[in-house]
Amino acid sequence: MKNEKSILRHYFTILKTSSFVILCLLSTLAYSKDLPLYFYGDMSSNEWYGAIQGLQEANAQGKFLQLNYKLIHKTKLDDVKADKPYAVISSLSPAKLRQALLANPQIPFLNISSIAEPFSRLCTPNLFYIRPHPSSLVAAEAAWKAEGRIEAKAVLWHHSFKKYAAAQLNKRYKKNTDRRMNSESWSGWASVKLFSDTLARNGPESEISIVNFLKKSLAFDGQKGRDLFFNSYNYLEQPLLVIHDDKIVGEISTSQLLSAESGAFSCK
Amino acid sequence: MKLILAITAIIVATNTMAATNRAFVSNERSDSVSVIDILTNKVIKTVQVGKRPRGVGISPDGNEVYVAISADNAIAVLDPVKMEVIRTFASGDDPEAFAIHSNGNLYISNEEDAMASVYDPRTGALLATIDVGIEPEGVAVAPDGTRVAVTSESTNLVHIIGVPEHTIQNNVLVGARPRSVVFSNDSQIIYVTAEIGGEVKKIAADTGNLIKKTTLPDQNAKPKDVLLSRDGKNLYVAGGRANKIFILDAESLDHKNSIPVGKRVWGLALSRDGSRLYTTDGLDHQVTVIDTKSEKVKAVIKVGKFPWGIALDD
Repeated sequence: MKNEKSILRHYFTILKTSSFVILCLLSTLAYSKDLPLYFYGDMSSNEWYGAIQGLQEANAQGKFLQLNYKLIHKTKLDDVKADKPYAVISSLSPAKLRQALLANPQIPFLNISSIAEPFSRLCTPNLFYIRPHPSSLVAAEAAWKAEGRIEAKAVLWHHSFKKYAAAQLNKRYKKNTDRRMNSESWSGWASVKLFSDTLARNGPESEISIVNFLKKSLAFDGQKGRDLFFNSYNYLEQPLLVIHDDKIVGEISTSQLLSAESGAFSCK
Repeated sequence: MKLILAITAIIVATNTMAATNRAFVSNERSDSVSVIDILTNKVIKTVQVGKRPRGVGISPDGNEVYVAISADNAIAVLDPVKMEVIRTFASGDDPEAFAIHSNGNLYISNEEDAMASVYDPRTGALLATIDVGIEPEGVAVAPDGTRVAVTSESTNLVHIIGVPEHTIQNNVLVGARPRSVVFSNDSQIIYVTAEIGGEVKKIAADTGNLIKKTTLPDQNAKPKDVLLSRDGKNLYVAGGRANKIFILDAESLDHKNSIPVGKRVWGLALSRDGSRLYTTDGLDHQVTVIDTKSEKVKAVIKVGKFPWGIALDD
């Protein structure tokens, strides 16, 4: 009896020890670095839905690189300083971000607002504009019309865009959300994706700041067929789609439209 | 013993087809395969195969031609002599490209499913699936059969997978939108093209470490297919909308030459002796034939709409 108890105790010890070792190994293997991104804006918006799509795709890459992105909806900008997220994605007016921008110079703020209001020319190094300057859209439409073409509208994205694997992105988004991807949802998607691509290349522990890396080493095509980049005023230079009667009739690049001399980009 | 060996040799010889000297070109928007007689450079037959044919390849014994019919979620199997479809088998969603192992198994990139799948084409049996990144495309099998590389276009990764375990050994971040991959002759190196940024990377297959990278010398270059010359010294890169083939030194990745071909060149195939390179020029609906010694265009052959892939039986 004493021997049987001793044997049982012995086997129980082995079982406990090996379970602990296995769990430790599993936790090491499964270890991913959590990378919180804060979102400020309306959770019923197209921007939010686009950002969620971007999150899913960022983690489809991240799972192979031990990176786990989290998109957290926030309302209080004070939380940025308190929590130090890896990035802020905002569809708020840039003017509302001023205090948070200045208080957190090392955190990139990716602005995806539609800037319908009079534009506040905030030129802080850590504020990045995903959507073009309003003057760029006007210039694109004017340039298109000046060639003797029909009047058309310039947009960031269209649900019928097929080139450069755009069709695949449109299909994924529709499947996941039952919505068509548009300029708002594309900008939400792009903000998460370009950040995640940048972080994957730079590494979350790198000494090179993410703000600098976004500025100088962005390698993101946004499914628009070429490398996009932030110009000297932190606007994302990118191809725009020209739309007439809900059909794509052309493409025009923002880099062809406005120069620094035009004054559109000067900071207050 | 000698008698057994002799009988085995006879069986193998009779089961392995004599080459048909044909090229098989998938026409993405014609739902067809153009069959070219490579001795005359003429299309001798157009075979309707199924919806949206893309990847194409020849079985190791030369008895069958496989075509990924993406919109049908299947692989069409053609008889290369009769030039007709003899069967199809389900291959998982949206097969885009595939590579054929020397054991006959197909390694397929399932573009919509973020998956690579392994099929026995003889039975249509699914042997394994491997989770990869979003929009997998390029697939290559190492000549020694111990690894497979798969690019995932939207997640900018190349996944190096061990065979026969079918588990990922390394995930390597590459340039934006990696389209195609090829192993070196000794299976130790992989070369990957990245469409955006016009980049080619040379990576150690066992560690995933970057050895070298280069940017193609043309701002319009959007590299797609990549092949190694038979002697392993040159890399041929389809330049996409640069409408050129770029020839790089496989060791240094230095640019050696560019050969103008038709518009939006994507697919590449090399003759068995390495003397001819065939390209699919999608927007010109043609195949270009290049003499690799003189590096000059020898022939241009009109095929179906938007030719995508090409495989040679020679």
